[in-house]
Amino acid sequence: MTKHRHKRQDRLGEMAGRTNPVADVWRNFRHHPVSMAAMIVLVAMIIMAIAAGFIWDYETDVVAIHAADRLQPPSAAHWFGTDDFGRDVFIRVMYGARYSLFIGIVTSAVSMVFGIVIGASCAYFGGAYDAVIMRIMDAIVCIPSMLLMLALVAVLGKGMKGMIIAMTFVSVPGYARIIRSIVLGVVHQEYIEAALASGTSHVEIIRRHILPNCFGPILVDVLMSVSGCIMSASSLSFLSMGIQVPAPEWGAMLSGATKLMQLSPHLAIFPGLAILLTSLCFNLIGDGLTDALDPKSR
Amino acid sequence: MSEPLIRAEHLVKYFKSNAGRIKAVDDVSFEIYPGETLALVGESGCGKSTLGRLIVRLLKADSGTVTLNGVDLGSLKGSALRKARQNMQIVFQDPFSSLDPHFTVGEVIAEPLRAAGVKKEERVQRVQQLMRRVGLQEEDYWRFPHQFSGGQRQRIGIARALAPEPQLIVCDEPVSALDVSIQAQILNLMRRLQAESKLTYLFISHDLAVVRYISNRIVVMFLGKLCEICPTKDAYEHPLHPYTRMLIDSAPEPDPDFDREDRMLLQGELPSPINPPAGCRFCTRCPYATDECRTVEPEMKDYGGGRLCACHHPLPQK
Amino acid sequence: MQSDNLIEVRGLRTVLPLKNKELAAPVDDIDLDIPLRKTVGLVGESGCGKSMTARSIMRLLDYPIHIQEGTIAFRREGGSEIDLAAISEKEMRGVRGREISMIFQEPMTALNPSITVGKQVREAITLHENISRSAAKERVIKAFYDVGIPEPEQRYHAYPHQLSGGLRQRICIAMAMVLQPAFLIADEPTTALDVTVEAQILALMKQLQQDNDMSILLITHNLGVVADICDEVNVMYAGQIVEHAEKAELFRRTLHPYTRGLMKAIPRVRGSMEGELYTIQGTVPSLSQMPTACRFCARCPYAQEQCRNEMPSLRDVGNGHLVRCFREVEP
Repeated sequence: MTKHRHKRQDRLGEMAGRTNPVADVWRNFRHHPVSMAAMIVLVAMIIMAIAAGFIWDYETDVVAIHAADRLQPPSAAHWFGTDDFGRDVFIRVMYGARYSLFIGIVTSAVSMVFGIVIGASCAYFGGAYDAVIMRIMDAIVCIPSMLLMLALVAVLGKGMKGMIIAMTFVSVPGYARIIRSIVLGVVHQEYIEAALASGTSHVEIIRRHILPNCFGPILVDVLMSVSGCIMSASSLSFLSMGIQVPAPEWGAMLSGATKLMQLSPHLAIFPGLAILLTSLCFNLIGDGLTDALDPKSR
Repeated sequence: MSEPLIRAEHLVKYFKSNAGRIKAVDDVSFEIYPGETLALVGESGCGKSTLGRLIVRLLKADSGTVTLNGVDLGSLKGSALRKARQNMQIVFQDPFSSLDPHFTVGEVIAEPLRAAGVKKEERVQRVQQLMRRVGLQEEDYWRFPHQFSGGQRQRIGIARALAPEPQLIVCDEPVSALDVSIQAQILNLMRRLQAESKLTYLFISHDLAVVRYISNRIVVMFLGKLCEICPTKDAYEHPLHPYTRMLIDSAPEPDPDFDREDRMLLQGELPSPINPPAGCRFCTRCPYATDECRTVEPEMKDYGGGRLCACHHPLPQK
Repeated sequence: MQSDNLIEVRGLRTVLPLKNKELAAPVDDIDLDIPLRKTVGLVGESGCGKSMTARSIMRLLDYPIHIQEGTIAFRREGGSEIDLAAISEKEMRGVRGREISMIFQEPMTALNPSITVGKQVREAITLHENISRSAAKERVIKAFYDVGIPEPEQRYHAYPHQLSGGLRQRICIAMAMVLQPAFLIADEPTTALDVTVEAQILALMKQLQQDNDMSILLITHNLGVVADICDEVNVMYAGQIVEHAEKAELFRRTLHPYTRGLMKAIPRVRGSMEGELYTIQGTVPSLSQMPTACRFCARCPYAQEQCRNEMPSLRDVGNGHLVRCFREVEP
């Protein structure tokens, strides 16, 4: 801390510019050992997911059936054992990260974009526009989300695309509501009034005051919800409405393992652990970022 | 007297609420002269903050006009309005929510300069100058507002208001959130800055003692209407409006020997600003109220010597 | 315990663990007497520990803040004495509200917004006494009447948001007074109110004290309020009492440089007003870096070598006037 203050004072002479906010956040984030560990694990998983495509061939290693090796327990040859088609569970879990992480991140990101547009515009314009849009959002929230997703997938067709669209549709109202309240909280602060009185234009106020003050809470919220998306994707696959067999999505693998649960529990344990670990990582990173993004911690 | 800097005429501002229209500011006219400190006093909810925001046009009046140096602010839009705003700054009550937590002190103070298109090098120089003037340290430039105490933060807010070299600064309860010893520092600072830069203050406050110290003239407001406008000295020595007298008498006096029995204290509750009493709005709390007060709204009358009062039965003058 | 005291606080030290595991003491070595039927003021600026002292007496401290040492002797109704710092939480609950009650600065947050004010005050009675609902209601209406609430029967059914700030504070006072406690702690009771309402509430407190023979500990930052209703005054600075005297004595013979500074720093509504306001330079030392010498020495215009090396004790300078300062004073 003191070291950084020195650095800041050294720069005083030149008055070059403020300290880089990204560097500030990163510096604070590093002081959260748990969040840091979660970040490392997550990065390792992403690398693994990318690498999996180069190490193993989808056709021969991931989905090909090896009747001789059916339902082997974990061993040196097959670290996580094999499933009822003789496929290596370790390879499938690693390969599955591509699906699960992709779905989680893409769904969250797309929902966030829609959520920001809807939520922020409602907070900013207010009035009838706000009332109408938010009532529509409320109406969507009223329908049980799983039911709605199943209905949407039924219409859009099973598979990755239908699943992502359905999940986005269901999660946007929640985002819009949260982002609206975050933006509202900032819009009514006196420093916005002070900026107006200073002669700052609306565009500048949004860019320099509102967005930076909303960004932290929104980003944290999105990160926390990535795990939720992975979970609901898994649930959809588990109900065989999502990624279709034989693709190794974690939820789909878990779903396939139910009937063999007693005989070969490893089939459920490893994909289950993968889901758990990923969710945990995103949540822990979100926790750390909450603190790191707070300007009071700089 | 010289030409007024600000002339407010027949300002009206109503707010919608679930219970009806709140008459926050109702047909208010007054002038602010260059170089003076005009205090705007009244109880909470009387509309004084709203009036302050109407003057700097952070709020748009429902009707009525505000002119600055003879220019009607209501007719300005877009960049012309932003330019006019540079001439009227505001210092807020809450030294915490009025500073963006993501901005460094230097950035906060530089904001009006940036909006005015001042180049970066010059901006930095002027900010440093301002920081010295309000008593901040040079190394505070890169610190964040949360690292400061309330009094220091108020200095930052004052420096920001001074930055575009405005003629008028509206001070909305600038010291009521501060401790006594800090309050004295800020008040002294404001007086000194005024003398240095020929500033004009519109000083909004509920604290009659602070107002007496800082202001030249005083405007007393009750429930959206003005009661009395007069030189500060007159208000404290021989007020015309009973409400002015009561406000001053209620102020706690740090002197045990002061005769408290002789005071005129306000009874009852503030009437609702949605359904203000007919006639004089003060009539339900006034000990001198007559039938005339309950039916006819008093006009603002000139009593000479810059004293104006809206009352059917002004207090006798010694 | 002296026979004319209701409360005697001795050596009270309330501590709060800091991040580095060290203990800071926002309330340090406080001796405080509350005489029977008197109003005692506790004055100081924000963060000086005045509210924390009151909360220590009420035992309303938020974990991990706790009383580390000291005794708080309290004379109960029957004449027996107890140490409020030592009794169990269960016993304390029997004392709170019934024998000692408290009113707060913000009358809005002190009341539950979703229950009518009448019911809230009634529950304060039925919590401690076993009486019928209708009897309790009668007492509530009587209490409302006593604190000057107009139309008490109608107000009984009002929700807090339907009342003005002044009326809400009157409700809070009615709630605190309804069981006729011997001791009332008022923590900045008028700070959130307009001056006009403040004067009314202070007059009410004065009258209630006389009618009910109770003692009041009034916590405030406003010397004007002190001059109005207190009998004795304690001035706190950085966790310690720096000056104690009867009101008239304190205002006539202000001894501690801090108290003097405070008196000179306030603008006044009456009397002459020439030149600049006096200011106390510098800021209060932070809790984690409390000097072991005089805590005011860095801001004191009279500070000597001794002040920077030793902690002055609270010494008696005659007339029951105590001051924590090394400076010689003329009697």
